[in-house]
Amino acid sequence: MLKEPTNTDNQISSGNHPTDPFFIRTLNFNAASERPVYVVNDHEITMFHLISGNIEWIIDNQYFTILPNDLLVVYPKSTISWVESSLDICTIYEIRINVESLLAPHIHKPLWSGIHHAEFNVILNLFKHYNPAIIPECKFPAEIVSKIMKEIANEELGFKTRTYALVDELIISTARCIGKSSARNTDFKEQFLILDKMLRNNLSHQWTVAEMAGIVGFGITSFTDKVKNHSGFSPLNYLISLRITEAIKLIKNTDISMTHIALRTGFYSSQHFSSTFKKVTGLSPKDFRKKD
Amino acid sequence: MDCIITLEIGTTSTKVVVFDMLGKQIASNKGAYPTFHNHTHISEQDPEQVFITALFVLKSIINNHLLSSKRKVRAIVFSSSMHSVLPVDKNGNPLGNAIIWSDNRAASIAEDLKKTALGDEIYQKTGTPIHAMSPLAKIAWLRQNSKEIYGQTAKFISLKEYVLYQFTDEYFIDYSLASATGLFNLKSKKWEEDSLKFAGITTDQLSTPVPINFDGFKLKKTMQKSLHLDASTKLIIGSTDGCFATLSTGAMQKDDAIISITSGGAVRVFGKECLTNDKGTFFNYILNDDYYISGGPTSNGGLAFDWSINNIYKNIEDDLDKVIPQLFNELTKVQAGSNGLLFLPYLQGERAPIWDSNARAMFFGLNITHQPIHMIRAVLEGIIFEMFSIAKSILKHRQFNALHVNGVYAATPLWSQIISDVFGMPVSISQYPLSANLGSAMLGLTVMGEYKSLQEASSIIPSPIELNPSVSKHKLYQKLFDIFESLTDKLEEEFRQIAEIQTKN
Repeated sequence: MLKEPTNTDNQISSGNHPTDPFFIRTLNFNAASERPVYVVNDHEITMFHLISGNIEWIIDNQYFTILPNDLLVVYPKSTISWVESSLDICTIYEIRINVESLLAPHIHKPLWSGIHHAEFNVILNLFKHYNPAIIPECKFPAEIVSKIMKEIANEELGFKTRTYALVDELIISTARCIGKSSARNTDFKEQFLILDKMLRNNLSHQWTVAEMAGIVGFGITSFTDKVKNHSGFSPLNYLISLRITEAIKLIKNTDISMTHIALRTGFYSSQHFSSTFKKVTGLSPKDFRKKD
Repeated sequence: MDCIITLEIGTTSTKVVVFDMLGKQIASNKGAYPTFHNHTHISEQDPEQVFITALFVLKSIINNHLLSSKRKVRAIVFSSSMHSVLPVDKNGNPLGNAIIWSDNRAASIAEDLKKTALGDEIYQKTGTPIHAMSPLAKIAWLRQNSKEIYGQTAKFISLKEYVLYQFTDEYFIDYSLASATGLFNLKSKKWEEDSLKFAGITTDQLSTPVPINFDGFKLKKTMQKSLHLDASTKLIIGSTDGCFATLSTGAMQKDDAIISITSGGAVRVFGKECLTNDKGTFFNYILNDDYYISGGPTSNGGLAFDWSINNIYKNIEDDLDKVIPQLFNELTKVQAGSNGLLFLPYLQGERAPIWDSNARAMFFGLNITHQPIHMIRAVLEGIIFEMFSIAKSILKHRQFNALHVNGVYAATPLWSQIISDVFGMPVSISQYPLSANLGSAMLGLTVMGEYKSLQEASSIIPSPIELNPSVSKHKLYQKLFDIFESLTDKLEEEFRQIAEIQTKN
C-alpha cells in the first residue's frame, strides 16, 4: 500500500496508482538526467521540496526559479518541465497526495486522512487558486518527510496511523503557509481581493468564516475584525451581498428557476433565498423578476 | 428628532453618514466593493454590487440607528466619484460592468482627439481635459471596440445614476457630475452637440441634467417600504465627491486652494469663472449657479506612497496597521529634503500638469548614505512637489495665499506640515474625514431651509487645525523643487523611450 521512498531514483515515471493515499520519493537531477515532460495526475496534488541545487522550472508554460528550501505545490493537470542546462544538479523531494481518496471516501475503505471533508475542500480550493504555489524558505516539508521515512523504515507499532497523521500535518501546514505567504508584504486590501475572487468563483459552496479566514492565512477573530474594518461588512454579510448581487444578475438576465438560482448562489433552500433576498431588496425574487 | 442621510458612492466603498439638522454626525457606516482589473489598463465595478451595497448600508443604518430613536429622515443627499460609464439596455439592465475613472482603455482615442482642433474646442466648451478618464473618450471607445454593447445601449449612465434609477425609476444627472463627462456644455448647461457627435450618441441616450439641489423625484413605493421611509423623505440629487469635499473646506469665499490627497490627488480652487488654458490642463466642474470648482488632478498620490511602503520599507512582518505609526515617527525624524534625495512620482504616468502617460518614476540623487527611510520620505516629498507643480500652473491664472488640505493622506500632521513647508503657505487641516459626506450635509441642510446658502452652511464645518510654514525649510524645498521641475522637463524623450520598452515587455 505504501511505496517506500527510494533515494536513488532519478527517473520520473508517471506511474498510476489510484489507490495509494500518497507517494514520496527523492529525485536526483544531474546534467545527464533525462528531462521528460511531466503532467500532474488528475487525482493528485504534487509537492516538490527542493533540498539542494538550482534548476529552472517551466510550469504551464511559465518560467519559475525555485531555490533550496522552497516548496512548490502543483494542482492536477499542470504540466511541468525543466530547462536544459549543463550546470544544474539538484535533489528534490517529490510528494504526491491522492486527492480522490480524500474527496470521495468509500464506506468500505477506511478513510486514511483525519482532515475534515469540508476543510479539505477549502484546502484544495486554496491550492487551485494559488496554482502553482511557491512557498519560499520553509523547512517543515523536509522535516515531515524524513519523519515519514523513518516511520516506514522502522515499521514500529502504529506506524501507519502515525504516517497518515504526518501526511495530514504536511497538507495543513502547507495550506496555512500559502495563505500567509500571500499575506507577506501586502496590505489587507490586496488579501481581501484574493478572498473576494475566491468567494465569487465558489458562491455555491457553504462557506464558513473559518474557511474564509484560512484563505488569507488569519485566525477567525483577527480576520473578522479586519474584514469589518476594511469593508464595513461582517464576513458573512459580505458573502450575502455577493450572493444577492449574483442572484439579481441571474434573475434579470436568465430564465433559470428560482430554486436553481438559490442553489447556484449558495442558499441552502429556496425559502432561505427568498427571505434573505426580500430582506435586502424589499422584493421577493419572484416579484423582482415580474417587475423586469 | 429630524435628520438627513448622506450617501457617497466612492471608488472603494459607499459611505453613509447621518447628520442631525444642526449638521452634527449621528451615525456612519460603510460597505466596500472591489475594482476588477482584468488587464492593467482595465478598471471596472459591478453595478449590481454597488447598488446592493448602497442599499445594504442604508438599510442597516436606518434599522440600527434611526428606527429605535424614532428619528425622522427628512432627506437623502447623494454623491459619487466622477467619470464612470455604465451602458444599460431599454429596461435599465446593465450591459456588463461599469467602467470607472481610473480605466485607461480609451487612452489612444483621447490622445488622438487631443491633437485636433475639435479636441481643443470640446475642451473649451466642456471644461473637462481630453483624457482616457472622461466618459466622452470611454463611450467613443465602446463605439469602436464593443459594437454589440454599443448597439444595445439605450442609455449611457454613471454608477450614481444607476443607483438613483434603482431608487426612483428615473434618469437624472446633476450638473457637477455631468460637467465631468466631457459631454456637457458649461455655459449653456446642456449636452454638447460636438461631444455627442464625436462619441456617436444622442441626447436621449443620456439622463436629464439638473442642478445639484434638485429634489423632484421620489423613492418608489417598494423602496419606501423596504427602507421604512415614506414619500415625505426628499431625495436630493447632490454632487460629486470632488465638489463636495472641496465645499466641505469652507474655502468658498476665500482665495484659498484646496489640496486633496487620497489614492490620487488634486489641487482645486473655487471661482466664478472657468479655468481653461490652451494646453487643456485644468478641469472645471459646476458647483451651482455661482461657482465653478477648477483645478488639476494627479494620478500619483497616496498610491505612490503605499507602493513605497510595500516595496521599500523592510520592517513589515505582519500587520501594516501596526507598523504605520512607527513608520511615521521614523519619517518625521528624517530631515526635510531627505538628505538631498528626490523622487519623481510618475508611477502611473501623470495627468496634471504635464499630461504625459509615458512619464515614469525615478529616484534622483541617491548616495551611499541613503537608507530605505530616506527613500520613503523622498516619495512623500515627491508627491507634494507634484502637487506644487500643479499649483504653480494654477497660480499663473488665479492667485491664492493659503491652503486647505483634506483626504486620508494629506490630512495627517506629517503630510500637512510638509505641504505647508513646500508651498510656503499656511495650511488648514480638515478635522472631519468623510469630507464628501460633510459637503453633502451642507447642501442638504441648505435645501431643507436650515441655512440660507451654502456659504452660511459652512458653520457646520468643525474648525480646522492651522499650521504655518517654516521659512528655512521652504527655502530648501524651493531649491529641490527647481531640480524636480527641470528633471521632469528634460526627461520627456527618455520617458517615451522607457515606456516603449515597458509596453513591449
